[in-house]
Amino acid sequence: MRPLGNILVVCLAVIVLYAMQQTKPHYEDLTGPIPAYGKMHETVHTRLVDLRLDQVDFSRELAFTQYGQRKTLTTSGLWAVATTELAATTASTTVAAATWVGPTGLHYEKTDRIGTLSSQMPPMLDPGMPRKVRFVFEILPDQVNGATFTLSSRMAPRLDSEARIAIDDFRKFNDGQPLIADSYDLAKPVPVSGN
Amino acid sequence: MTLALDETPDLSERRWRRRSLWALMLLIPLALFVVSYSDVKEMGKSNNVVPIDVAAGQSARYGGSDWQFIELRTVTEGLKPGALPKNAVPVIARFMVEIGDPDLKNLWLMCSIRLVDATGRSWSPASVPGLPRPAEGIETCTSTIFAGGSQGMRRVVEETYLVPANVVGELRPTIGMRSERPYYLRFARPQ
Amino acid sequence: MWSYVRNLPSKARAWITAGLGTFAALAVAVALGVFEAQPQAAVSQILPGQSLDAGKWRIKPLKVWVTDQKIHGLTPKADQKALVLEVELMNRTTRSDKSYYSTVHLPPGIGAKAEKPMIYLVRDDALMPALQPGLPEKMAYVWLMPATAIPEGRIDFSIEAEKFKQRDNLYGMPGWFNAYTAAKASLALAGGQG
Repeated sequence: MRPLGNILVVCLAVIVLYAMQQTKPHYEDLTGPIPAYGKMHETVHTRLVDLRLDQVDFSRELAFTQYGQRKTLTTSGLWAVATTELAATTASTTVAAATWVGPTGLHYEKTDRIGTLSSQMPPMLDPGMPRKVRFVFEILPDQVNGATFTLSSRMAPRLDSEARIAIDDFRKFNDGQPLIADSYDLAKPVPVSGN
Repeated sequence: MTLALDETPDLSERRWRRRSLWALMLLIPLALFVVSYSDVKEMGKSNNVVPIDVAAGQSARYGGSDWQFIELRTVTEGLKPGALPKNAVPVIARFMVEIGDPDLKNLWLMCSIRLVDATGRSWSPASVPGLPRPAEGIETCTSTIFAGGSQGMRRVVEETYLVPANVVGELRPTIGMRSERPYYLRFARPQ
Repeated sequence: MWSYVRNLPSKARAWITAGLGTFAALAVAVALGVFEAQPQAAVSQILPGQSLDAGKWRIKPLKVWVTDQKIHGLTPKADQKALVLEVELMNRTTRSDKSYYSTVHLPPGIGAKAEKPMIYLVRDDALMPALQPGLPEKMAYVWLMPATAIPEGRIDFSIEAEKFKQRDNLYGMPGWFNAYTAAKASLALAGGQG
């Protein structure tokens, strides 16, 4: 009787442990970012930053002025410019990571091809003083519909909030394809939203 | 190999087993503490946690030197219209420091002077385009470290901020340095 | 025999057990050594214009040439020349990435004499930009080296790749590990350019 009981206990332990191993959330997910979801044109609150995604524009070329020189960046994909309004919540802070997440989960981090353009440095944010900040992404044309804009204070937030805003409002044609301008000029002041 | 408990081991063995189980209640928190101690300490060294209030006009010893808050003044000249965000005002906080221990490189490490409003929001120094340069000899906290100073020397420390106009009246400066944290100085506004 | 072992003094039993363990470990080590000493499968060769999936990157070597003029923002010194390798790189991962520095290696003989490579986006000479998922870009690896170190004929570049692991052994995070040579790309040096 005794050995039989022991075997049963071992079998039970195996089953319980296997079930736990299969069902428990992984450490990586448990300690991942804490999402703060939102839509365009509404303010999303994260731990350190309040933000609103106002506008998204697409273009074939990106133009800007650097050290007094006009520059134009081409791409074999698409430039996507997200215009946001950001303010710090409780203390002066900065924003390190902005990502365009495509519908299939491809992560397009804000481009570093622009170099040291001051308007594209990590923005210094202060409480009570919202700032318009533009983030530029280089994406594939099929990553527009169903995409998400994410923003966090650190590069890979762990147990810290990350804003996730559904990109649901941009100028498009009747068939749902986005309106793509020939060029977007970063030197011009931030456009006023008007759809 | 038997999995079930051994039947009736002798008395002292059972007693020690029970004592060991009880000891876990002490040992597990102790282990957590030992493991996390350096992280907690580092957190206290990087954040202002415990305020030391300094009355208006008084000076306080911090980072080996005597700090006195002189004034918080709003700047208007030299600003281009439209260069700043709406409702933003540049302000300058001025301190008088009498250097005590001249080893500023260690004592003033990670020096940060911030402005705090009544609800606890804080502003770090900012660069404001168009502001006139401060007079000779006036440095920020960090640049004072490199300017140096001997014992008993008096220096003026100034920091520039950009703050919303509606909170200027309630702002109080705080000073934190790695060598003194988690304690930090919180000054009252001179009346 | 088993009863004989069981009747031994406990000390002797411990010695025997430990000895068995040692021999087992030795046997495994020898077996592994023999296994590693086997001739490796030959590294595959790719030709110019041929794509290869090498870990994070889909790489297509295009051409290699030598110049003594300024190229993509890098100017060779008086006694130097620049060896330029143009490749098309596509990010196969799900995230922007710029870790293509060690994807292409010069043959060791030449590599020892060359400076560390600079890698430019051919489109606009951006230095080592992140490449976006699914977006192929033409990149130029530029090595500066003494003019005398420039080889003749063909150059065998080795292409390095890493393996994806869903969970690494330390943190359980996904990542790319264990670099290996995925292929050799043999390109004819186009002479006389620049």
